Amino acid sequence: MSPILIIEDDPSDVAVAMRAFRKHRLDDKVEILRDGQQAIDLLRESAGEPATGRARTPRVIFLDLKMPRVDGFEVLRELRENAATRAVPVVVVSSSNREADVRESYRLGANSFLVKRFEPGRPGEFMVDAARYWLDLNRVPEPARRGD
Amino acid sequence: MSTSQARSGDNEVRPWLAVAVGIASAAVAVWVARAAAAGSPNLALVLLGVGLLIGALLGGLIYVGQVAIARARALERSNRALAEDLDARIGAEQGLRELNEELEERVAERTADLERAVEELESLNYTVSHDLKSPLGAILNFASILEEDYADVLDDTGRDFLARISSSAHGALAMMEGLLDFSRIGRDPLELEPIAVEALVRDVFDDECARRAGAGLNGRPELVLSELPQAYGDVRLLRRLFEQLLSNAIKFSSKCADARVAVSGDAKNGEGHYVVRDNGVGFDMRHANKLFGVFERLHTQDEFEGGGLGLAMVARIAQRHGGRVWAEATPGEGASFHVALPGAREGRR
Repeated sequence: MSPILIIEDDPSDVAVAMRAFRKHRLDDKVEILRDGQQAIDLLRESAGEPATGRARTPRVIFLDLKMPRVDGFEVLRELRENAATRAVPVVVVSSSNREADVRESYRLGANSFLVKRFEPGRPGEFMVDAARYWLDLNRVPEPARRGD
Repeated sequence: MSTSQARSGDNEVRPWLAVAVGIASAAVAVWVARAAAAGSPNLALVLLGVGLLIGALLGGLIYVGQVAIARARALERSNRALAEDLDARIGAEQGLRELNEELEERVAERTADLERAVEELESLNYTVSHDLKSPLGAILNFASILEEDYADVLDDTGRDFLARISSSAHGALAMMEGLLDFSRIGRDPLELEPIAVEALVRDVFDDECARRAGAGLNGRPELVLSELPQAYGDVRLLRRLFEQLLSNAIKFSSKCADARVAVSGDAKNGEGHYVVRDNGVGFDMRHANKLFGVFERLHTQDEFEGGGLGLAMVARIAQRHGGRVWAEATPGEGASFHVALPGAREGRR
């Protein structure tokens, strides 16, 4: 799987983020999923595939909270219940900075909570900044092997 | 009513009965005395005397008896009336109690309705503000992208329009953020604790000056800080309150050559009274009623920056603590903002 997975239903936010990643030549490292159920299905499927030596899971997941059908909290819960995705860093990205959302995200095991930023002259750059931290600076344990 | 009228005849005192009995007794005594007079005139005299006495006594007794019976009946009647009266009163009291209970119930219902309405309004405010943030953010982002990626196909007018789109969207977004913040101040539960206001004010003042310096805004006024009483409140909110008041004081005195911000206070009867005074532009007291309203401004954006929510927030924070705010000013001579908060303690901490 691509190292950066973005789970976001808003096409404008996706377009802005992709432009920012493209600008920094990171767009080939990004995969976009447009809804929560799709994300859960794909991560399950990918975790169950035979080994190829390639990473079965992304190295960071950007997760929107407000999505139709299956929302971000449910995806987060699913990610943390699945042994293969338990250690994957999840960055919640939301336009809300409601304390209850922040609290619930961390309770469910989010590693970071970002409030969407609209900086003049830097559209979508906060995603690139965050991705760089999780890809270049942060270290996570090896993904769990089957039977762990 | 009709029964009491019918009975009233039984209770009348009939003096003629007593007189008749008395006369009859006297007549009997006279007749006995005449019969006895044939034998002994002395005995006849005694018998006449005794007979007359008995007659008078009998008449008197009957009269007294009648009066007693009449009184007893009158008493009984008034007793009955009293009992009826009492019953009526008990009935009325019961009615009042029921009415009271009903009223209390209705007040409780209305209060619950009102609380629900306020809650719904706050929640609507939150949802609308929150949901409007996304499209506004998209406008800002795409305006920014247009500006960067398509600068060469736009002329100066086009770029100017684009800048206007950006700045309007920014303004709207700031308003949304302000409203969200404002609604949060009204909803979040208070966490009360003793607060060292003096240290808080000094800290907030330094932060605000540093923020202005970072933003390239001029002016660090002199701070005249008197001894301030300790407050009892939610430190997060009271910090916001003093941030607003101090930032206003610094902002509105920033065009002054010897800008000065004075913070003083005292505690009386458990109420802390704090005053933030500046020697800045002040305002016309005729507009004082607009001061603490939401999105009300007394100066144009070109004169002084601001969103028009700061003082509304100050008022709301004071109100949530059971306190109040007011202001005094003279144009060109500065303004004083007063905050009264219950639960203050004298002396520093």
